[in-house]
Amino acid sequence: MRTRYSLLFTLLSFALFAGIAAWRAQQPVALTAQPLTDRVVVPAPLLIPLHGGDRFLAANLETMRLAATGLDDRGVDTGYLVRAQREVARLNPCHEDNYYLANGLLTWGGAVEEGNDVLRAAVECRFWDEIPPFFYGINLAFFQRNNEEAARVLEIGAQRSPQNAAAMRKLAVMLRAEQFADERLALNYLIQQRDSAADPKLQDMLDKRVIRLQGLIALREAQRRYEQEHGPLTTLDQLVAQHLIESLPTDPMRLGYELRDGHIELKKLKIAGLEEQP
Amino acid sequence: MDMGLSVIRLLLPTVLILMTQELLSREFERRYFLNTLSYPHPRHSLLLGRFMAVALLTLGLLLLLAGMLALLVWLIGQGYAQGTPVALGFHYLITIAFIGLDLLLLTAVATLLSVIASTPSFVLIGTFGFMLIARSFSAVLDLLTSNATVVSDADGYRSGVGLLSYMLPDLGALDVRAITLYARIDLLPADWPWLVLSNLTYTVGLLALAVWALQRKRFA
Repeated sequence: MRTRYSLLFTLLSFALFAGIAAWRAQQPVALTAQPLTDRVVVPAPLLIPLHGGDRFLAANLETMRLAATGLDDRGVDTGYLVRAQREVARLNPCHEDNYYLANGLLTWGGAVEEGNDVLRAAVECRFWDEIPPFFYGINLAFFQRNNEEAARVLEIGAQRSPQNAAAMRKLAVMLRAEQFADERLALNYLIQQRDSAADPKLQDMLDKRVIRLQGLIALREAQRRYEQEHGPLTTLDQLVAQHLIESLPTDPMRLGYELRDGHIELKKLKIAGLEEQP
Repeated sequence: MDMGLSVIRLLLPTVLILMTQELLSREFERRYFLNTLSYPHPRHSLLLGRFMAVALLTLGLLLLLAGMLALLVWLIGQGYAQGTPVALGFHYLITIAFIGLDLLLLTAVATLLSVIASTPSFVLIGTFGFMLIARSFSAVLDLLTSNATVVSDADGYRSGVGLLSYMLPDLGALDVRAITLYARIDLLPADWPWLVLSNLTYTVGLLALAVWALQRKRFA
C-alpha cells in the first residue's frame, strides 16, 4: 500500500511538472529592448586568477575570442579590439597571433597608435623576430611619418634577420634620405651609405637609388636652365626637344620621373586611397 | 603546445588531489589506520610512503602526457611551418622538469591538508585554492606595477599581495614554457637556481609539518 502511494505521488508530481512546463512554454515571450551592449574585456590582473593562474592560457583564450569576434555585428567595434589586444599584450607580449592581428586589425583598421603599442611590446619581447620591427617600422613611416624612429626600428629588424638584413637596411637608409629637403644632401648621404655598406646586396640596392637620384638632379638642373629662357616647363619632353639633355635619364627602378606642380619629382608606386591619408 | 601545457598544468593537480584523497583521507575516514598502524612501522613511514606513491604516479603521468604532447607537436610541425618553431629537445625537458617541481609541491600541500583536515573535500578545495593563489600572485603583482588603472588603490593592493610572496612559493615563475615555445633559453629567469631551491625547501617544510601533525594526531 505504502509503495503504491509513493509511486502515485511520483507520477502526480512529474505530471504536474510537465503541465507547468507546457503552460510556461505557451506564454508569449516578452521582448525587452536590449540596452547598448559591448563586449566585456576583463583586465589582465583579473584574467590570471580566472584562468587558474596561467597567463599563457589567458592570453591564448583571449586572442581566440577576439579573433573569432566578427566586426560589424553584435555591436562590436574597433574599441573592443583595442582593449582586448592591449590586455593580451600585457599577459604575453610575445604572443605571435596577437601582434599579427594587431597590425592587421588595429593599425590598418584605423587605430594606429594602439596597434603600434602592441607591436612595440612584441618588438621588445620577441628579441629574435624580425617581423614585428618590420611591421612597426613600416607603420611608423607610413602612418605617422616618423622616419627617424622608423629607420631605427628597421635597423633593429635588420640585425635580427640574416636573409632580410639588406632589404631592411635599404629601407632605413631611404627613409633617412627622404628627410633631406635638398636632393644634393640626400645624394651625398646615399653615396656615403652605399660606399660604407659591407653587404654586396645592400650596395647593389643603394646603387640603383643613387643612379635614380642622380637622374633627378640632372633633370632639375635642366629644368632650371629651361625656365630661365622659356618660362614654365609643362612636359619633361620639352627638355629633350630643347637639347638641354640628350634623353630622359633611365631609372633603374623603372618607375621614372614626373612633373608635379611645376616640380620634377620621383614617381612613386600608388596605392589607391592610401597615399593621401593624413 | 601552449594549450597542451596549460591542460597538463590543470589536469595533473586534479589527479594528484583525487589520489591523495583516496590514499590518505580515506585512511582516516574509514579507519583503515586501525589496521595499518598496528604494523611495527613508525607513523611517518606510512605518510611518506603514501606521498611518494602519489608523487611517482603524478610524475609518471606527467612524463607520459609530455611525451604524447611532444609527439603530437612534432607530427603537426611536419605539415605546418611556424614562424618560430617549438624547441622539443633540451628546452622542453627543462619546462617539464619545472612543471614536475610545481606538481611535487602541490602533492606536499595535499598531503598536509589530508592529515589535518577532517573532511576529504577540504583537501580538494584547499589544494586548488593554494594552487590558484600561488600561481597567480606574482603575475598579478607584475601587472599591477605596470598597469595601475585597474584598481583605485594600486599601491595598497601591491603591498598586500606582495606580503604573499613571503608566505607562498612562487609557482607562477615555475611556468617557464616561454623557453620551449620560442626556443630561446634566455627567457629562463636568471635566478632559477634560487627559485628551484626555494620551492624544494617549501616542499620539505610542508612534509615535515605533515609528519609532525600526524605524530600528534589523536585517533579517537
